[in-house]
Amino acid sequence: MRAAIEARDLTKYYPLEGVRSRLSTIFNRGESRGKLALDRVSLRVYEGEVFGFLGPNGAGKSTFIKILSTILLPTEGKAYVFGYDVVKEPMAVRKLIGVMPEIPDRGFYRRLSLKDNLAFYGRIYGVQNPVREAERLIKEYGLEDVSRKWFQKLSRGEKQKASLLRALISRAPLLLLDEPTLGLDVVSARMVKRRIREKFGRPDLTVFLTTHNLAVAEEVCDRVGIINKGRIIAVDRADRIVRLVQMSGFSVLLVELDNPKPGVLEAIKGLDVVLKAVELGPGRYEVTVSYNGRYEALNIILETLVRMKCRLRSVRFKELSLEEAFIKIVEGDEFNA
Amino acid sequence: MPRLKIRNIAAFFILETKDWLKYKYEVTAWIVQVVIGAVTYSYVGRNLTLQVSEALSQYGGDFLAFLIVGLAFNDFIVASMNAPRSIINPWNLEWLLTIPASLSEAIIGSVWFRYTLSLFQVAAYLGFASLSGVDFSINLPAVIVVLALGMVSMFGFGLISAGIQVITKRWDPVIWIFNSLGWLLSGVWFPPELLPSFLRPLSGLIPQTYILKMLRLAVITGSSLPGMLDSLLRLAALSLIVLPAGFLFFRFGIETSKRHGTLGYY
Repeated sequence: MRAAIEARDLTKYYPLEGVRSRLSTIFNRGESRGKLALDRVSLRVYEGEVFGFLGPNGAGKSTFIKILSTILLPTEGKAYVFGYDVVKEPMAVRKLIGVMPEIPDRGFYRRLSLKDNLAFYGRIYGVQNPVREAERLIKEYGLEDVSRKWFQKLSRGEKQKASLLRALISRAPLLLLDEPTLGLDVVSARMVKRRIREKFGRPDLTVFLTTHNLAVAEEVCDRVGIINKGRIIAVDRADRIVRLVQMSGFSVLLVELDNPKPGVLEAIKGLDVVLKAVELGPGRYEVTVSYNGRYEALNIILETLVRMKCRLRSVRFKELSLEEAFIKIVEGDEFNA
Repeated sequence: MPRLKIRNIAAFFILETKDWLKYKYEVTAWIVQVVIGAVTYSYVGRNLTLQVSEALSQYGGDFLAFLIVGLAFNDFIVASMNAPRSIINPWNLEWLLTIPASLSEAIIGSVWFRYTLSLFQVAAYLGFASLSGVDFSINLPAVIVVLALGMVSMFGFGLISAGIQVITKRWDPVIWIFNSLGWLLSGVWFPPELLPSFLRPLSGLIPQTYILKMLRLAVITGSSLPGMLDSLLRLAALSLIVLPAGFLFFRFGIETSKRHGTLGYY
């Protein structure tokens, strides 16, 4: 299967603030080590799949999409879109991508209508009848009422949809969608998710999307990649990622005591087998332990509680949702750092 | 130089035209400004008593003709300089670099729109001046060559300005110099030969000086290109230096911003 996107050891440092740092990067023509945004990211997205890039804020998702969009140069490594180098062949790449940026307003002429804006982009992408195509998309996505309004007068959600239509009118084989459901109401978000799942009626379309919303990734993506602090932590099917976490990642114990005592939390936190412990309420604790050693950890925690003369009301392992699994992966990555 | 698509240039031209027409107050103000300017300068020029100096004699001695040609064509010249900067606004620049249209196409489409407006202004100014009794003897081929060469040199300065501004986001010495000193030194209002002697060398560094001089000769006295060879060669030399320098500055600015990730910053 052909790779629509291929990244090899992609690394990006943003220069630090300050005149000296900036000058050193300008005149040395190389990056002095600044803020690391991507750390040797290697990834393949295959033609025809819907791939979701998950990560908390600041993880590097938008940096990755900007490099693929050709508006950001990587520090090291390579990235290719359908075999074209994003640095050396940017124009060839741009013909193959439709981009939906995180900020939907960018690139729209604010005093032109949505229809005029879309028609302009249709012309640029060589669409046969750009005005008619713009009208068709506007109707399909329920924006007829606002199609003649100045773009700047559209609501946040309407602008977000408009930004998606701008990517769609390109008829490009690869869509890069940065947070596609951000700012949409429930009905619109559901509609957009459905359309993504259907690949907008184009079976050969490849969709690469970023999101911090796990429900979106779980519902629409064939595969999911989790990124944190610029590093890829896991890439697999969404259901496998949950199992991966549960089987080789972390377990969460919920402990409830009848007689809350001072010092219990500190005592639990001090155990080597405990990765993290938080107090949910008086006498209620959530304790994260390694999955592989969870029963040993349970024994040690119980022994500690008995030594402290605590009366145990209940203790059980908690089932993780994908969201919780994701948070644990991210936190686990921080534990391992 | 990558191949330019007329379709893309035309798309930008249509976009700029439609966008400008949305600003109804600006459109109205522009029309009023052109008409009032043409009428006012014609009346003032005809009714002021001015000493005909030797500096004006090369242009036929008519101050109104001298003034009108300068004012009419100055916008045309400045449009080339302003076009690159208009494209690099942070709202659109980052986006422009994701679509299959080059910055050259965007800039040419934008400047074509501005030239179209300027042409109307030129026609209005020269038309009203003619009605006020000014005699023009227009050598059209010479006018076209001078304008083409002028656009190229001013475009080069525009690229330098845009390249600096895309990095600094605000400060740009090129436009500041042209805005604050250009009108004084280049001879828009009066022949630069009348400048104090210490300013005249500076006047020779600005392409507008040569462009306006040659346009006046071509439009007022009908001079041909051989008759303005000295100015033509100086302007050509300036263009040969400024245009490549402009491309280098612009490309350097864009590449630096792409490296820093600051294309969309204000």
